[in-house]
Parts: sequence; structure tokens; C-alpha cells
Amino acid sequence: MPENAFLSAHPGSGEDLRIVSGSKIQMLGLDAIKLRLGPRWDRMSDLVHRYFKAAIKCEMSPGDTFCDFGELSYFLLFRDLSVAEAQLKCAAVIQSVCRRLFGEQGEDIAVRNLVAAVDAISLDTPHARARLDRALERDGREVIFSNKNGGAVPKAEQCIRVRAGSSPAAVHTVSSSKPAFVYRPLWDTARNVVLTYICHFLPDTISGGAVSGCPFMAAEGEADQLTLDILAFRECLQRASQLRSAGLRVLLAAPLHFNTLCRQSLWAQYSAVPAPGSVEQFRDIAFVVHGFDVGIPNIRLVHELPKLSRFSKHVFCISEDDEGFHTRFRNTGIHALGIALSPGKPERQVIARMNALVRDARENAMESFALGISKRSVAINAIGAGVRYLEGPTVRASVADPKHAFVHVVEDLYRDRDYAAEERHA
Amino acid sequence: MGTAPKSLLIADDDPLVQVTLKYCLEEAGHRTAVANDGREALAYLEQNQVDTIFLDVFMPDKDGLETLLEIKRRFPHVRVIVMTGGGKRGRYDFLSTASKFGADGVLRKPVSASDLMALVNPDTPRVKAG
Repeated sequence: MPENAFLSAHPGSGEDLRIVSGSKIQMLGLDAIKLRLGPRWDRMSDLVHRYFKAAIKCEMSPGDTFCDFGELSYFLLFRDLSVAEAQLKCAAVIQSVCRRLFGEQGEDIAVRNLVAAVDAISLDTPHARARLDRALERDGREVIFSNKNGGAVPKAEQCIRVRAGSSPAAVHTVSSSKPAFVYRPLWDTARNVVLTYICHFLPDTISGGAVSGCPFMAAEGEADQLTLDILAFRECLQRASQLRSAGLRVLLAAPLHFNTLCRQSLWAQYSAVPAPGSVEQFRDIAFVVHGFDVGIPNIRLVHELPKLSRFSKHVFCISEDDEGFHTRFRNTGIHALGIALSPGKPERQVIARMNALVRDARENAMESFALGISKRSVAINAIGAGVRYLEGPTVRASVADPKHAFVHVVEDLYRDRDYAAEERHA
Repeated sequence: MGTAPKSLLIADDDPLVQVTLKYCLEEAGHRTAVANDGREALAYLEQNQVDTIFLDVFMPDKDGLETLLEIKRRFPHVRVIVMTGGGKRGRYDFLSTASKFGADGVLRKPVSASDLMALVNPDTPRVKAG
């Protein structure tokens, strides 16, 4: 059976191609390829390894390190590359191999980018660790096994800290646990309640580096994004069901990349995640669509975004605060426009952007929301401008008290108890 | 009508409001100073004697409500008049919050000269036109 025919018969293979990446490390897993090849793997594995090695060598520069990491993975250490550059190289390797193996359908392989912005990589087997150790030693780098506090850790939580000789201070660690989630409250300023929560990957888990906070994404490929979207959606569905069972009605907002929506094959996988059922199943789910590149034509927005209305009556679209193109969302059927504020921007600029956002939203009969409100004064100005939903450490701190879990008013922002903590957090 | 000249501080990030209030208050014989946000206002209060401060709610860096709380804590003798027009665009009444926080008076923009003077001289009876 030709590869393409095989793939057609087995759409949407379960596990995705795994990439574990650090700022200068990429580890390419072959699990998904093996899964897709199924019984053919045994006789094709040598070919796959050969393809991988050839593709990797094309992307390596003098001084870069590469080794067959065993257990269906490769390890790459790039010198003098940013995270984004390293990821691009890694994506090129995967694309090249998948194209050779599967033709055009190889593009559908979902790639999970587990660590996007940390100088660390998680390992869970001594065998893999030893290989990495040797590879790093060859490259003159120091490898430290420890937990965040520097102490010994159980095997399941082992982390590796990779410290480059030139920048000893650049050390971060990540846990090897699976992605976990956190729900950040959205304050509805019109009703003075917190009944909507946005789902984020926990920042200190592997995926957290890629998708937590605002903006949501680092530079990953769209297939990579699909996996994260599915994880978040599953989490939201499960949690919404639990909350309903407990008699609570809150709206959980799941992040969804625009590319996931656009790729028909990816969308098919995505929409197949929940069990078949009525829209009622999703009544407590909102979608926060992001990833709106300036190059996306308006007609595509009008075509793609209404797809979501079959799932949810709450579709929010969000862009970075320096992308002033909210007017493009006319006639897309979405319900709210938002911005993810970048920390460190001058407050006057931030306030001006929020004013423009509210104006654009109102002109199109939409609500507006702002994520990443880092200071109380910004929150107050946002409310004054008419921003409907707010998210940020100020709001989080204010709803930390169970008494204020749902009802939330402006006065809560000024409670002395939260003051110092908020400012430190911000 | 002879009222003692007072030392007034206008804290607002809108230059138009600054100029308008300054003109009205100086015409009435008062001394005025201007601050662009809450931080500047507090810095001014540390160095100068001020009778009354006109404080806008929506300002960058340190908003009016936060500044109000700090003034009431550190400079309890200073009268604070909180003003805003932006609250109407949103859905929240910031002037009632300001009153809860101890504001001595509130003004909704656009401000009329008579309201302004009544708040500067609260003991002077207002003369109704006609």
C-alpha cells in the first residue's frame, strides 16, 4: 500500500510528532511517524532515520551538535541561535522528512512543541540522559540534573539544566510533567462579576513556555499548535462538565489558533475531539481565537470564523496590542474583540490602544476585552474606556479570596491586602 | 465677591482640561499648579502647601482613585475634588466610588464654572441666576 493510501486509511493518528526544544536544543521524536507507518515501521525505520540524519545535517552549522538520542528521538544543539531560529530549523527538518515519507499529506502530522522558550529540556530515562550528557560534553557544556531548588529529585520529575559556558546565568528548569492548565479570571466590568475564565497552560510546565500568558504563542508551526489547542479544549470540556455537575455556571474560554481553524484536515481532527453530541455540550465553552497574521486576507476571516458558531455562542478574537487591525473582523459573526497587552509598554500607549479597541468593537456591535492588564491604573483606565472584560494579575489577585470569586467591583482593586502583591506581580 | 485666594492643584492628563480649569480658577484669584498624573500630584504635595486638589480619575501611571487614597492617608488636610467624564463611556460610576474613598467633592465633566467655584469655596452660598 503506498504511503499516501495508508495515511488516507488512518486519518488523525493519535500521538503527535514530539519536539522538545530549548533555546538551543531541539529533540525530534519519531513516535508519530512510527504510529503512522504502523506495521511498516520495522522495515522502514532505517529509511526514516536516514532521512532524518540527512535533513538534520542540511540544517546544521559548524559547531552545532547532533546525536541520535535513541527511543525514537534526535537531539540537536544549536549554537548562537535564538529560540525562534532553532525552531525554524527544527520545523524545516520535520517538514523535509515528512514530505519525503508521506508527500503532501505529511504536512498534516501534528507537531508538538513542548518547550519553546526555556534553556532546558526534560528527560525521564537514564539512558537518554547519558546520551545527552555525552553530547553536551562533546560540545563543552555543563549539564546539571536537579530540581528548581537545586536538590535531588525523584526520577519522574528529573530535569536537566543546560548551562552554556558563555552565559552561566541563563538557567531555567522545567518539570517533565505533562502540560497542566490554569484558569485566569475575566472580570465582566458591566456586571461586576467574574464568570468567565480563560484557559492557559501553566507557565512552568513544558508547554507553558509556548502558550502561557500574553501573547499566547511563541513561534511554532501550525500543526504543533493543533495539539495544544486540542489539549486545552479537552481540558475545558472536562472542567466545564465538572462545574456543571457541581451546579456552577461559568464560561471557560479555550485558546484556538486561527491556523487550526483554517486547515480543513486539522479542523476535522479538532472537531472530532469531543464525543458527538449537541451544541449543548459546548454551551459553557468560549473560543479565544488568536494567531491573526496581518497577511491573512479579510475574506478568509469572513469565511473561517463563522465555523465556530456551530460550537459556541461565544467567539472572541484577540490580537497583539501593536496590531491595529480590529476593523477587519466586521461581518465575521464574532462576539468580542480583544488585545493581549505586552508588558513594559508605556502606559499612555496601552491606554490609547484600548480606546481604539473599544471604538472598533462598538462600531461593529461587539464587546471588547483586554488580557494582560499589568497594573491597577491600566485596569481603571480600561474600565473608563469601556472595555467589557479584563484579565491580569490585578484581577487575579482580587479574586483570589473565595469571597470575591464571582462578585468583583472596582473597590476590590484597592484593598490594601492586595496592593503590594499586585504591584510585585505586575 | 471677596474670598481668600487659595492654592489649588489640578491633576489631569488632558491638556485642554488643565488649561480650562487653570483659566477659570486664576480668573477667580486663586493660585494654581498643574500635574499630569497622580505621581506628579503627590510629588507636588510633598513640596508645597495646597488647599484643594482637582483630581481626574483616569490617568496613566497612578490613577485618580489610588492617588485619592494616598492623599487622604498622607495629606489629610488637603481637600480632594475628584472629577471624571470617562466613567460614562464605561458602565461604572467612579464618582460614587470616589465618595466612598473620602473625596470631599465630585465633579462630572464637562465642568461648569459655577460648580467649580462652589467646590473651591464650599462655605460661600451659591447665588442662583435670575
